[in-house]
Amino acid sequence: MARSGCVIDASALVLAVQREERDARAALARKLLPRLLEAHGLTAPALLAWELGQIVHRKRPTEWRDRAHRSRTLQLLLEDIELAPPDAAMLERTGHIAEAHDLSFHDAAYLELAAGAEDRFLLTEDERLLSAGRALLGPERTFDLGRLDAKIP
Amino acid sequence: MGLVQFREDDDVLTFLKAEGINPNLLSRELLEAHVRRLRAERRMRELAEVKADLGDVVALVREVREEER
Repeated sequence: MARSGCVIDASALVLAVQREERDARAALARKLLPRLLEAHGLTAPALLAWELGQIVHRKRPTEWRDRAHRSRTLQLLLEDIELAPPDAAMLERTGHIAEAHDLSFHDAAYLELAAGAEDRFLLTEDERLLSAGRALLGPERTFDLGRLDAKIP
Repeated sequence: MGLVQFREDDDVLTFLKAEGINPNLLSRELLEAHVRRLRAERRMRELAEVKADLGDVVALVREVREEER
């Protein structure tokens, strides 16, 4: 089955729980994510779940009422996002990208997934990943929330 | 089969009616896309209530990601 068109990383997705007083991009994320799900679908390497879990349960747990609230949030964030499990070929390509572009294996996993089909594009707020995406995928397939807002209806 | 399933979701019918869309004229694919959006909008409203102060989210994600480097 063909995977969804928008590869989203944790820096863009976790903004959905951020308070707007702290970061104006929070409202933008909450506006765009439903539209992306409708128009393109969202996908990510399976490691997205671990990255978000580390943030919610370990890095900033006191921002939630209790553990059940943290678990609920994680579930809401990941619902309807197609998580791509690793396989041997994907890991080999990811390793190549990581070494060739001097990236962490995590960063490279997002790029590997986005590079897997020509109609797939990357959404991230991380400048390092944006820069690597522009180099590997091209600027027309690499977006942050602000730039994407002008592109989708 | 898909349309029967969607009729059970009042939000979907309300949305389609407001948009002037006859669900019987839509493909299953388009209906599923509408449902994804509706469900996501509902989730976003609940997520907005978290109002977490995560600080610099890019730095936070970078911290998580680089721990494994």
